[in-house]
Amino acid sequence: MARGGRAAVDVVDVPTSVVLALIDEELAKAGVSRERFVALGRADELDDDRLRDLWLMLGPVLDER
Amino acid sequence: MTRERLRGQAEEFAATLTHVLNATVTTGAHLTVFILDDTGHAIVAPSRTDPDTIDEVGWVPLSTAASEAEREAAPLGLKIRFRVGLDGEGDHLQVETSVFGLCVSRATGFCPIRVEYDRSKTSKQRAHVQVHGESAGLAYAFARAGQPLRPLHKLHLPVGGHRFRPTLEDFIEFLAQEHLIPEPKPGWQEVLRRSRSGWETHQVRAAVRRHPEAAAAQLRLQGYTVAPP
Repeated sequence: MARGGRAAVDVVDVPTSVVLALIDEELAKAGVSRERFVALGRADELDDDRLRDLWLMLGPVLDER
Repeated sequence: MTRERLRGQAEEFAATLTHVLNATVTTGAHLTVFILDDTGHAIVAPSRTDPDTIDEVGWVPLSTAASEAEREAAPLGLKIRFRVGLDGEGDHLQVETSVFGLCVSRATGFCPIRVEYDRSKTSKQRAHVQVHGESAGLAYAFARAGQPLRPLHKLHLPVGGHRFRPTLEDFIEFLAQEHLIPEPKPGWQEVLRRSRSGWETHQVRAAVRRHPEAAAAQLRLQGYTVAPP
């Protein structure tokens, strides 16, 4: 991942492959498939806070594919 | 060009948040901008010494102790995450989603109070608060409505809507007023006041861009001469 930015702030370029790997890792821990995750995220039915965060932050990477 | 604009504006946003945190509730907080490839989205979140750890729970210790070890051991923390992108015109940064909360476990990221915002949400409140807890009164209300009980944390309590939702500054002020921040830094109120003022100006400008006729009409009422472009 490329990195740059101001002294006080790091800026990191994250390839989509890394984001997808991260999502898959978290979903594996929770025992939820990608399809189920997207369905629950769209319906705002994710109860687990970690998955809610994951959806809110990285959901578009899945949802817009 | 658009990507560079997103990068620059997200960086500026992260720098502002970093300053607010370090001048009020903590020391040594460091926010990172994660540019999500060419999706047009970026995440602004706290990171530890290794900014590659995008999967770390975004945790800012609620401690102003000088020692990093003491801060790391703080029992309470602030969760902060923002997803940002440029607006439809590709000119201005906008927050797409945000989460901030008072957390009691760094390991699990559990936050008994969360403030969420999701710009694209249509079925529920875009800006809402979720509180973990028990409410006998709420149980009674559901029973009287003939509905099965829903836990308190599943309710999305509306707060201010899209334009006037609570800010990080509001949340920090709330925590300080409720004595949930052990030792806020001297002058924290003024830091929040100045930062909040900047946010309000930003929001008013955004509102004017979306509703120029209403803005022009109000200015004319106040005696200004406003001519259309």
